[in-house]
Amino acid sequence: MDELRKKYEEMLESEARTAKEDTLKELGDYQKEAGRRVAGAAEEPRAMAGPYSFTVGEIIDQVEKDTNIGRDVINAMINLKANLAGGGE
Amino acid sequence: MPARMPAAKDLAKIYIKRIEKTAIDLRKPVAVNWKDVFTRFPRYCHVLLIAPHHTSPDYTDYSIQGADDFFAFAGSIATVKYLRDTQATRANVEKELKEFNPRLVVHYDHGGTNAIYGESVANNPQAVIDTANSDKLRMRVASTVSCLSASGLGPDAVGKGCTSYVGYNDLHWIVTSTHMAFWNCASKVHQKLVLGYNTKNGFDSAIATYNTNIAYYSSIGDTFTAVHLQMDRDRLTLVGSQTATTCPKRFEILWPLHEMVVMKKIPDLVWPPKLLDIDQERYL
Repeated sequence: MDELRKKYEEMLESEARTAKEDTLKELGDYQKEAGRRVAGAAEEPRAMAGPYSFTVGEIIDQVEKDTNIGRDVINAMINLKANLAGGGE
Repeated sequence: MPARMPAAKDLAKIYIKRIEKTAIDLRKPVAVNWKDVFTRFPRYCHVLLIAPHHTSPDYTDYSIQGADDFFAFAGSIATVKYLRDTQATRANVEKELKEFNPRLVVHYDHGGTNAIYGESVANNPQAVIDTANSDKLRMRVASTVSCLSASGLGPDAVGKGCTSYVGYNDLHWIVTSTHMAFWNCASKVHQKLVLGYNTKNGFDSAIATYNTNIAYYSSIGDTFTAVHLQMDRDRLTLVGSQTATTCPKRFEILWPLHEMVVMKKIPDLVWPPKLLDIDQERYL
């Protein structure tokens, strides 16, 4: 029983790690592309909500530090990929 | 048993007299006190729009643009009272809820679990509706584009008689470079309400618009916007009645309907009142 639980926990951890890496890769790609596309633009795009205001780099930092906002972004990325893989809703 | 019981015949006479009296009363014209009616019931098609603007840089630099966009849409259809920027104080909101008596309350600004914010005299966020005065939303429909309020204030207001409350149950994100996409999705709820559709139609329409925008921004490689739209979509919450309406139904003009209007087979009560290009010559 303990072995089964251990295997299950390992599986969850591995999936969470993959999701995090995937999110970091996607946001990193966007950051590179946006940097190339909007070079010379007045301001870098920011995500704002209530008192929070983050650039793409800062959101990547939130994901890396595994904060609540970072986890929200990872979840949204998982849902986004799932929805698009299913052809949307 | 009483000493003097009226005879059955006398009882019948009294009964008939009562019936006659009621019938005579009913024939009298009924005087409706409209002032009383307007005070007691929120006014259909009256919209109170609340959109403050705090010191930059702030979320409200962008949210006020979303509110302006909604005002441009709704102003020609409904009677809209717009409390913009410094006018959006708690005192003004409470005054307009009482005097303007709107059926629909729309809000764009910061929010907390138990409050939605407006502007204080010192240009700082100030709660305009919170759990202390949420009973003022009684018999009204509230639609807010702000953080968190649908998780606390929404259920509280509905518990105190608010017909329906639409908002977000967690942070509402926007991305500055593509912020109009966020307002276009969120505004769908109250745009549909102004057009006469019910709260469920508005909610579904907003979700569909979110899905379209998510697919579009993913397809052009803007993952940053797509992810934040996805978060907002999943947080949009409808509390209370799903069938509540706030305005009379408006019919958008469709080609077969337009033909029938031209042939005078149906009345010209369609919206928007515009001619299709093909018919321009006929009227010149």
